[in-house]
Amino acid sequence: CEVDHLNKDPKTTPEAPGSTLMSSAQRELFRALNTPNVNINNYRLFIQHWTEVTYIQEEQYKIQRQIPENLWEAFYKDVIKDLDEATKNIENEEVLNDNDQGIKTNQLAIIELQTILTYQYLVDMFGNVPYTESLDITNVTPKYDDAEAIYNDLIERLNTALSNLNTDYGTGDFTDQDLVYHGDISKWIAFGNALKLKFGMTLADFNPDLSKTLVEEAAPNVFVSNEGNFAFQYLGTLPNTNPVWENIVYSNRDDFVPAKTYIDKVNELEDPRRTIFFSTVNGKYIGGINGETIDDYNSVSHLGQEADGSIFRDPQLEGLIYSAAEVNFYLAEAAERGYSVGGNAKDFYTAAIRSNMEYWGVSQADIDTYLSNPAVDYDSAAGDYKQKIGDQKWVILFNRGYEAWTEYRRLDYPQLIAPETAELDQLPTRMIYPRTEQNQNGDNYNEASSAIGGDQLDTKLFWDVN
Amino acid sequence: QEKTVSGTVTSAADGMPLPGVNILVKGTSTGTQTDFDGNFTIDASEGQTLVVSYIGMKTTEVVIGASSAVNIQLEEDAQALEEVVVTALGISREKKQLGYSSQEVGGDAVSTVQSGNVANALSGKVSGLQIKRNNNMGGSTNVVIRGSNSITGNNQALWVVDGVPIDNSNINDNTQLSGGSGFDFGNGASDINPDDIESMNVLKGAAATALYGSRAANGAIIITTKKGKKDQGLGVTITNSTIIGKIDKKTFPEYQKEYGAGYGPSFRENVDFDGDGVNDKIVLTGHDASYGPAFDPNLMVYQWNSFDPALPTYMQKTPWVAAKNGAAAFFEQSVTQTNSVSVSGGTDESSFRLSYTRLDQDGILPNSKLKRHTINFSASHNLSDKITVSGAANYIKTNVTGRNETGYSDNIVSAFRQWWQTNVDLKEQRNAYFSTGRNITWNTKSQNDLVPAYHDNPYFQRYESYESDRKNRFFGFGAVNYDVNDWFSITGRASVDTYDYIQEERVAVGSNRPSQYQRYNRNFTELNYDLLLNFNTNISDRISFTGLLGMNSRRSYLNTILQSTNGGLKVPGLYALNNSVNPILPPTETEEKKAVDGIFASASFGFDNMLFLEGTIRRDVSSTLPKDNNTYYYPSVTASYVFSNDIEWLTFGKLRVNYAEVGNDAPFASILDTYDKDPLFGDNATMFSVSDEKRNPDLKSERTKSWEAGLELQFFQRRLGLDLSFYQTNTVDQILPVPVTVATGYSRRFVNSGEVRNRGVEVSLNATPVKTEDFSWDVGVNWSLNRNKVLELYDDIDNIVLYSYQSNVTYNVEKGQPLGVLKGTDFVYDDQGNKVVGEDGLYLVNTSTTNEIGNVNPDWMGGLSNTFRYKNLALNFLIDMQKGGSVYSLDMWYGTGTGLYKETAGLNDLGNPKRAPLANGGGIIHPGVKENGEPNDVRLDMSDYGNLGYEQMPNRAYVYDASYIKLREVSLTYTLPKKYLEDSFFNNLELSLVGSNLWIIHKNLPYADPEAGLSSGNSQGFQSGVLPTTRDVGFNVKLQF
Repeated sequence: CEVDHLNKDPKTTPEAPGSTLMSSAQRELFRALNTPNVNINNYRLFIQHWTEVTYIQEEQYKIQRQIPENLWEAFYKDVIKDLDEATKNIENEEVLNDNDQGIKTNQLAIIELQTILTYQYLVDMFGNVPYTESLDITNVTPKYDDAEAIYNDLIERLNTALSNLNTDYGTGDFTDQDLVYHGDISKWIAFGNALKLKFGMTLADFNPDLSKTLVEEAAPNVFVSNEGNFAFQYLGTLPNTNPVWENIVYSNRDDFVPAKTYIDKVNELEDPRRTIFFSTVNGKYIGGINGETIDDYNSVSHLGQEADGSIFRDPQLEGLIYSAAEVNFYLAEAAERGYSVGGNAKDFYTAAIRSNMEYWGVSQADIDTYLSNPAVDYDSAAGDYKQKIGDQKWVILFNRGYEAWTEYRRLDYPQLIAPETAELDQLPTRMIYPRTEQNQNGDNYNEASSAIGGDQLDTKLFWDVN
Repeated sequence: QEKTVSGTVTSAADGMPLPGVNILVKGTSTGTQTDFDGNFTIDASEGQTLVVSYIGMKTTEVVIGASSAVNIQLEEDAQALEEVVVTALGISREKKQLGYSSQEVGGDAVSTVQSGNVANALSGKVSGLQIKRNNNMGGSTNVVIRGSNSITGNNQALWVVDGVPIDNSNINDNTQLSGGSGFDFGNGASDINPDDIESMNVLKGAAATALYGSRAANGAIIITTKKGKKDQGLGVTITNSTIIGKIDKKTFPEYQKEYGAGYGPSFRENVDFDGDGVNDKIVLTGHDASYGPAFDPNLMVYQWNSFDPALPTYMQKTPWVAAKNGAAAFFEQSVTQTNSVSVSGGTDESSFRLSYTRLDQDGILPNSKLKRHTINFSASHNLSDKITVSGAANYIKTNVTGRNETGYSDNIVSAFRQWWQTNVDLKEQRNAYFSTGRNITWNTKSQNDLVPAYHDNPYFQRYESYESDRKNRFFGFGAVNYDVNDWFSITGRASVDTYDYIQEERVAVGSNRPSQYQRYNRNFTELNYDLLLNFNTNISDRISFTGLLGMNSRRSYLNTILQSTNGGLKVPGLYALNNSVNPILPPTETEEKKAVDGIFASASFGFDNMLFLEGTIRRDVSSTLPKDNNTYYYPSVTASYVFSNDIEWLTFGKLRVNYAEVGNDAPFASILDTYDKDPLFGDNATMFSVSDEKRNPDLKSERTKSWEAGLELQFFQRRLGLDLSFYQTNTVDQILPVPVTVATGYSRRFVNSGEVRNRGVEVSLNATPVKTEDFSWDVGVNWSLNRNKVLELYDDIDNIVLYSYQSNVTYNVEKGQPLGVLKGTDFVYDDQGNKVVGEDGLYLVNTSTTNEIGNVNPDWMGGLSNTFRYKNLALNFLIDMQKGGSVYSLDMWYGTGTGLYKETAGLNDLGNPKRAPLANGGGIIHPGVKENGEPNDVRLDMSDYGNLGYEQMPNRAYVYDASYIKLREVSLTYTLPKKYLEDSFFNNLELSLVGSNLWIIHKNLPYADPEAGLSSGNSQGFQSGVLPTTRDVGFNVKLQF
């Protein structure tokens, strides 16, 4: 008798609109980059924005659990795969007229931008990674591609996607399903250009010519104010809450406090953001020392104001991946490097700091005071442009561990010192590959490891030449 | 007319009385058995015939005469060894004819020493059967016959009770199986009531189980329950068993007694806690480690018990000393009580048995108890001399409260073994909870922030954040047997196994974890319909024939729903979904239906009662395979040759050989790709994501191919016997959800691939070295060796990581290796194999995770049982052992790092405290060589945490040999002599003293039982926070009247 009909799972579906897969990918992307969970994202600790209280292995660069595994799983499986599937499903949708075609092209380009962004994260964390052979389930031992080659291909794809975005058409059901820009095509165009700017600036030391071309092409079209931020509005209830809140409030655990390195810096600058970011101990802002346990949690400042549940203690705190402040800093740096970006370094630098302070709700008066501090003022701040920008960028990227770490690797400022108890005598310059790769894709893993100069935390990425 | 006939049955050879001889009034169902002294009484009429049968003896018929006394002598019958065993599909067969290996265990062997799980009682009693019990109350037991065949799938044996296949699913989730947090909910077979078991037959190889088909590819345990018979007396049996367990201290940490709380040797000394103007010494309560300051009874400090105003020790300093009542004081005595009553009876046409058993178990953790009620009813009735109807019904109700957490997090015992302060007194923790009802924990964040840092007060956790589960289960069958004529009969049978199950988990408000209530409901039903046509005839004088044609139709249905509160509980103590802080999310539902239709045939020929040949074939159609590929056939052939007929000195000798294949289908929904549905994001955004698993529309059935050869020998009128088996099993085209690199976009892909080979030897020896009228000594030995090897995996993949445990140790399946290789970081060795130590005195660590650091498969296993009988007294003891196999201890990995264990303190080679500063002659020297090859002489500072365990050592340092020798069971049974009962109401009275796990004679794993693990299933060789083993002693009373 016929029995095969029983094998259909009645609680799942074989069909789903592409847009719904993109929504899921967006949520996972923001989660991976925003969470401070030590099992996946420890960059806030690497970059000495935060420090750990009792269990301090991660800030000592001991990668003891499934940390890189979880990063790969998030990026490849939960983000890129869903975007890839979204692309396929949208491509298969029937098109009745030019308008449909226009919407479809826009939707595909939006998905493509996010795929490119995610691959860039993978490359910038690990170096060579599976790319041309990834996402093909019939090939379970994909080769790792050369990081630079991946960059070149991503840039090409980025140019294509940008040229496909067309404001004459809408984005269909992305109005509801696009959790970042809600289908606003002009915001996606500005973001796409900002992404191009980021590619360009990341390559600045490695390939100045390409860098200049990319940056100069992108600069006129990027977003420069917070309305354009690539950001994600979290909700008040699990599982769509800000993972920072989940880890420092909801968990009932006191695992993290601000690091001394950071607090000392903002104390020195009398930064008004301190009142927003931190609690005080006897009226003072005190940070914990990276690489050392903190015997008394209450002897140091805490993240956010416990009493009013503000900022880091708010489940609905917006998740941020790319902000106007960063765009402005890139432009400042581009100006210093002699690229033609329609402005001078000081103006961009000042705009960067201003937009970040505005983002956090600092009053105009306090912003002006801060900017007039000789240690902040671009004209009088210490060091060359890399130091000036590096120092302030590190300050504004608080709670943005990954970006702060990447910019530190690129600019080499501020000059941070590894904790005494750490495994390395310098900060990590890349993340090690998932250890499961040694067992599951061993040959390609070994090849990639030797190609990049060793699967180590202190191997430098191809663009990290200075 | 009917009268009572009594007499004695003895052996013609030596005149010894024969106990357990079956005596049947011919043509009726009236029967009895002889007692220990060979005596019997039976009601029969003059002229009726008694059929007297006994294993190894010629069946004798005696006609009842005028006398009421009948003494019968039985002659040995080596040729017609009519030992009858129950084989696949409930078919009774003469053991002599079988061409495959099986081993019987009597009901007494599993009910004398009760543990609440029938599988535990098989340990050491059957060769080739690996039983791995853990100490979890109501927890699962791993039962594997002849090694693991399946790479990712189920390797557990099939359990069948009176022809009803029993759902034995392990429903523990993957987090639990990988050593994360969770509970061990046991497996279904533990619902089987040992008191109702008459006998068990373990079918080991594919040939033995070929007629069952795929589900018994891992062997089968066939249980026959007790049935009613026409007894003298009322046919009532009452039993009581009371067993008390105490923890075996060798299976729990022995803490160092010199240092207390802290990750370093300091107190908080910058606070004036009592306001006397002097800064105080305050214990760093937030530190869940014992690398703190040295104990000093003259040093007065403020500890966790000084901070809460509700405590009598509030604001009081106490001496800085090791706890009087350390963590071991947390464990209570376990008490297991089993009470049963059964009534059985029968007439010429009918028989029945009704029993009720109640099991009450209090676990060793506070607030842990398990209650199980079993009602069993079985009956049969002859409608005519050709038609018999029979049936059985079992209802089992299980209530469990407070199972222990397993694995790494939220597990109190993992705190005791990994993250603990040796100064914390458990009795004080107990009083702190019971006097306030609050979570006053040893691990407060600080002296002025009294909420738990990482660990709750363990009593608060046990009494407030407990789980509970309840199961109602029914299984049974109804059957009709029609004897068409003397060579052909038809059996129709319908059976059902069904249960509803609810698990509830609670996290109380005020815990270190977010408060929560979660419930999981599971409903399962399996129906089996069998139709069997049996043929049994002699083709000629010399050729006998047994044939079978049959069909089986199986339908199963599983439905689950999981739901939890969101964001915590609003009102403390109310564990209901509607007490959720935030609106609850949609539940997770599953629904699985499965059908398998099989038809099968078997034919067996006997030549001269000497040579037996048998062939079987089965065809299955399974709903879980693709339509074009869902039909598969598999055959078996067996032969056995009884060669002892003409050999004087040999009582019995048989050679057997067989080859069999068994097909297997896929797990539910392995074919079609589907999307996972996530809850809406906000009000509008629908969320779907691609499933982790890539399914495969081209799957075909997997196949197990096995051959086996065996030899059975009996000497000296069966006083010495040997059963020897050799086997090889290859499982090919395995249906694997093979883990793949996530760069493919998936975590797993379903494929037909992989081959695993198991080969091995099994030996069973039985001997009766002494046998006199008053005294006998019986010895039984079971020994088995299994080697398995992964011959093929998939594509270019030569390694599959099946489980990733905390600390990056993985459980691997690697081509060319045994199934279950542990991998992790290792030492660095020089050419001579010495461990290399770096300049800083720390071992160099090979951080690659592809280092093989262990193999979970034992080299061999054995059991040795001895039974001494003196008159009415019987003493039995069983020694159970395992050689080899590896276990990785996460407990040691963390617990040495946090300075809990004895090894982390004490004196060093210079006679100074290890933890003294280097300047004062402290520190240790790791055995090994320096990089230049010279013996290591670099002294390593031990005054602070950070140099041992998880901080600096490779995983390899905490892999141990899992060998053990255990005195598994002891029982001393006294049967009251019949003469004392002659004038009483009673027929039989037995008293036993029993003990289990009394003595771990040998083991290599420190502070834990090498057998203990997380759960049943493929995730083995890993320990984290396992419960200590208990030594159990108790007594049984059995009364019959």
